[in-house]
Amino acid sequence: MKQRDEKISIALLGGRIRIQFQKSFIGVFLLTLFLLINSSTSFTQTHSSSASQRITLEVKPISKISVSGNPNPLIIKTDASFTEEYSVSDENTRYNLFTNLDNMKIVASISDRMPTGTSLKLKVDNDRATSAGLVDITDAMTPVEVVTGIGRGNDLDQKICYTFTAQGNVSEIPNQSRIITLTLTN
Amino acid sequence: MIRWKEIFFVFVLILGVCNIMFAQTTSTSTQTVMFAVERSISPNLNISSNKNSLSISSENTELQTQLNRQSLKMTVSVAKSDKNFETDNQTEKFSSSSNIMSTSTSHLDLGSLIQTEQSSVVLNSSVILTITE
Repeated sequence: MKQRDEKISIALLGGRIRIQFQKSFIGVFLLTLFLLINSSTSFTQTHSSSASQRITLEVKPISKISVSGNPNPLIIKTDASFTEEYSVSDENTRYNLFTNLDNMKIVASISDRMPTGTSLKLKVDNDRATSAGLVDITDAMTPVEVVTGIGRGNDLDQKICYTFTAQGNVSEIPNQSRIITLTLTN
Repeated sequence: MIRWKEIFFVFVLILGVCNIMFAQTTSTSTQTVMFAVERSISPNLNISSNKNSLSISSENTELQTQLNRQSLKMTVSVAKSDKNFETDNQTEKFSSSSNIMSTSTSHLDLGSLIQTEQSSVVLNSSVILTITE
């Protein structure tokens, strides 16, 4: 059964112009108008829309110390008749450190005790912290503090000084070596 | 029955341990220090001569002290020169050498050694005392 499409008349200018629309045409027109308005509204909303993300950040504690190499051999050369205490020093090595922690310190230890009648002292400089000066590490099998109060940041090209001392009654000592461990710790 | 509380506790504990392990709060660096003591023998002897013999003054005691301080085996030799003793090719070795171990029980009597060997030395000659390892 065929339905008849109803017509709608619109009178303009006091009835002088009369326009007739089919009812289905009006429906299509209103739908198109709605879509146009809706899309326009969507474009204008892009400036005010928002989205959020949660980012988790963490900075872990970092401490790093490195030395430039080994000091020159500390050789004491004296006459056998020399009876006074005699010392030689080396300050040719440097160290760098970096930390993001406060109140750090450098401790030093020696791998084995020095021979009887000799001593080994260590001085570690630091521009930002407190150096303990010349520290005796002759038998420092357990670490001893050489620099304290190191704050966050880095220290570059800091001087390390070793002093080797032999008493006058010490006989010849052939070449020996010791490993000195510098530890940056809290 | 699964004990979820205990499992969760262990999980959190493992996370904490891992966090501590990966957080670097300590750093170490090492240096090797080499050292030695070298004692050279430098005798300061006053050797005087008279008609038939040489004599060594009190510096002999000093030399003996130096030798005793060393724990190495030494060779002592005495030579003479008619000319300047500083030119080695002019010297003539006239004394035997002696190996000694300078310990507290083994002493070197340099004075007697030289005086014994010196009886026929011509006067006006220089004497060189050489001590080597």
